[in-house]
Amino acid sequence: MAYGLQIVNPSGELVLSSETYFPVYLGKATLSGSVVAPTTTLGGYSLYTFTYSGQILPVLKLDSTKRGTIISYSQAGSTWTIKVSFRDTSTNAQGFFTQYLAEVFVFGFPTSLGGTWGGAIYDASGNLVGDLTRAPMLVASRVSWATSGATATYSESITVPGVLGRAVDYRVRSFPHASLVDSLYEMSTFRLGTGSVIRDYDLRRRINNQAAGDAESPTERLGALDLWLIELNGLT
Amino acid sequence: MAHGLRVWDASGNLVFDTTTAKGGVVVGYFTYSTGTTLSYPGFAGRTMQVLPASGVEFDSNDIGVTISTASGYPVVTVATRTNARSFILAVF
Repeated sequence: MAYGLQIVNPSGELVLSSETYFPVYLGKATLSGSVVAPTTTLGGYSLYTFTYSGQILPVLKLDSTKRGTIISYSQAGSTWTIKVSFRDTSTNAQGFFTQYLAEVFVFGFPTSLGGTWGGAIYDASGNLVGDLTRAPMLVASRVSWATSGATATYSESITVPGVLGRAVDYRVRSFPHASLVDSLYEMSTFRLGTGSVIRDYDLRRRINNQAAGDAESPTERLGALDLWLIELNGLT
Repeated sequence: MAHGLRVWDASGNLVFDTTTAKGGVVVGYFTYSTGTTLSYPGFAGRTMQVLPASGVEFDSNDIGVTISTASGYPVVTVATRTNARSFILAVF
């Protein structure tokens, strides 16, 4: 590294670098419309919007009873739309879970300085990569799942944990009846345990009465996964 | 504090302290459907992680991103997938 700044913590881990971004807290996303209830064939969800011209990193506040995940987020102009599943364990007749309002904290890459007190970090090309005038995204823990297993533990003290990232995995279950098949598609959601994050499956889609040849074979693909826990305490 | 950097806000609240911060910085946010390779010789000896970020709800493939340090620094290989998927690349 011929140019720039790198700072490590006492464990030698990188905590600040001019070759990376130093995400800052931008605010909470706003529910768009109402929480969407599940149908007889699709899982429910809620959409949140946030206005920002740069790249955002949404973080879902974890809950000990409700299970949630950010499914996707996309940008149109300066408006970001974030799709979330945040549910409990009650279901409708088709097995889809009841959805609830979630809290989505939005961090992002800096595009301009937010204040005059603090500092700024620029990369070798002169791009702003760190804005120390605003509250930073504080990494509280890095949690990992092996290929199988529902629980990832952590030892750090975290007051209000949120999760950065989502799982890219799904499970298909099939239920034959007569000569037909019902296929259930599920994805991972997350909840807070005691010093742990637990992932559970969330039914997202149901295809009923398929011919056996049209149904996807039952699949369970819990992949190895790394996510970060972010401290949300004090952020409003 | 022997070495490090502390940042206070204008009200005097400590908001960042490199002596207590958990390791982890964000290299970038990427979206790909076709394969590519990303090399980071500036992070030789460090651990890089892929945090899946956004994508379709039912992707029949895994995220298809692997990290090798065989070259002495992180090399990220992104495989071609049917659906675009987004991920955060992080290092500590």
